[in-house]
Amino acid sequence: MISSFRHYFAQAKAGWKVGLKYRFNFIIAMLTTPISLIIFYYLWLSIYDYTGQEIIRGFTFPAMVNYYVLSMIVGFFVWCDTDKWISQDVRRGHVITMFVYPMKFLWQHLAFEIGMNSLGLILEIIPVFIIGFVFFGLEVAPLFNIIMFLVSVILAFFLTFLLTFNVGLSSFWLKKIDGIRKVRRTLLLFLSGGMIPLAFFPESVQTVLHYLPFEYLRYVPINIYLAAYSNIGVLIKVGIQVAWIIGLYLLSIYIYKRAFRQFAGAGV
Amino acid sequence: METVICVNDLKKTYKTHRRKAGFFNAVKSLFKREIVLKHALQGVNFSIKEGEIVGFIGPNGAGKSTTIKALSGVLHPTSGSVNSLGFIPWKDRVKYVKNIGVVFGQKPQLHWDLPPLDTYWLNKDVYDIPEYEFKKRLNHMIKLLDVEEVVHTPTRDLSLGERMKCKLIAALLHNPKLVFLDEPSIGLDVIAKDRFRDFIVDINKKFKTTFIVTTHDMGDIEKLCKRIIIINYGVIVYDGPIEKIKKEYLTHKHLDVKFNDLKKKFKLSGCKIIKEDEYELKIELDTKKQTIKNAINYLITNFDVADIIVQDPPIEEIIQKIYREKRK
Repeated sequence: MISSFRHYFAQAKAGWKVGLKYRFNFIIAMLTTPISLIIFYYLWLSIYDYTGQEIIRGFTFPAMVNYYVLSMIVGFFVWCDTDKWISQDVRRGHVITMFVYPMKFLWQHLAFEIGMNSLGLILEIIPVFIIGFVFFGLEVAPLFNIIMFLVSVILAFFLTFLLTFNVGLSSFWLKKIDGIRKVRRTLLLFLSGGMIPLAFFPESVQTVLHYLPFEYLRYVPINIYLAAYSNIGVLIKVGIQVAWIIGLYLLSIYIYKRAFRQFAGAGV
Repeated sequence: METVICVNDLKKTYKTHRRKAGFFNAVKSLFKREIVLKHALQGVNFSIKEGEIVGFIGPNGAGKSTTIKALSGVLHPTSGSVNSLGFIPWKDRVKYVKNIGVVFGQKPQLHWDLPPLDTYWLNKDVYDIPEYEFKKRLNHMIKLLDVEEVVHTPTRDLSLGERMKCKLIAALLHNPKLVFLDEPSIGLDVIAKDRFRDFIVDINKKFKTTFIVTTHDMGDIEKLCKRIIIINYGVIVYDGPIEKIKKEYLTHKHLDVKFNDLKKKFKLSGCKIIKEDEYELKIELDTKKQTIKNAINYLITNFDVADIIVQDPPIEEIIQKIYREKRK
């Protein structure tokens, strides 16, 4: 166990180093994120002005701004490109080099993503939190909510990874999955409440979304920070997140086995 | 000596889809596809002992890479068995591949954006190499292959040959018992090729490492291998010492001669003209009937020769010959 942890920690370090190579990319991302925050700020400002209402769908204007600041922060955590790496490898015929390497496919990718993301976190999250507190009036949540927010956001990362990993695996059959990847990104952003809060969706759609993993990627962690649930409600939500992770992990293992068999030409 | 690999009646049949060219057929293939069975391996048998360097050759599509894939654990054969280092390669992949090294000449195996050194340190942890041994082996290999500067440069900025050397180091750092080299001399210049081959022979002698080399370069085969296995259409057509092949099938040499002047009529016993034009001549020389020395003497005394290249006929020709004889 300890030795295999060391293997994957080394892989995470490699991801971190690759991430460092793209420092410029990260700095650009760091600069542009607050810009989109400003856009959302003024968009909602004019919406609240125009409608003349104090509260829209349970959100006051400051709460709405808080929502978007938190959405940005969660967005850094749940960033994941695993489907891109997998499909690139499959299409160029390089995936075989992963299979002659003594690491488990899923864990190798996970470790790499963690390494890549951890760099982005340090570079981006702190400035965004500071900008949020100073310029956008982000409220400091109770300690319990802050801790559970962090827990929930880390779980959201694993959820995103597993969903993205499965999309990546589809390239073993479909080869080119650029289209599916675009759909994946838009769906994950939209259905997790990244564009507008899910409270703005029709009642029936919201009900359906309760039975899907998407809202646990963004909407739930944000609402945990905003103290929208009772303390027990928070624990239940986090519990459901864990259940989704276990379920999707088992599904990933199953699909990966099928993908490897497909690659290895088994059962022909 | 211990047997490292034992392959028994290995068979592999692929299912592929055939599609005729053209737009209409492309649309049609979305709905109905013709399934074609391709027999890549049709019962392959061989065994390899510890410390051997075996050349694995054959024309394109002969079943070489299918066999290598089965041996390296990334292919489920249709039937037959493989025992490699006591493992069934395609079962328990992670454990098995920790014991082998693989170099793919045509595929990236080092982190593209990082210097090779970073990949080496990663491998140190992944393969559980003790630090002392790791450093000793790494320094030794870096010196032998002359890549002191290269290992500090990001892989994407390296030349093909430099990358190949660095990949070889990555594949050997954990001192594997068994190493697969797939087209290893691509992109290497003549000097680098020599160093590369000496290096492999050196490792082989020192650690009794078993190498399986697939290549189209006859030079690799001659310098490295004592034994070759020739495969064609999924069957082994030859398995034995390279000397025997040389004696039986390399009975001819090709001479490419270039002339400064317009050439006169060429005539020498034991020689056959394959191609000729005004300034150039291609001769096939039967070494049983004529010596190379004589032929060159004859050429130099009678013609104004600019250049002579003596070489073996390409491997494909030898395979054809063996194949023709087998069918008889």
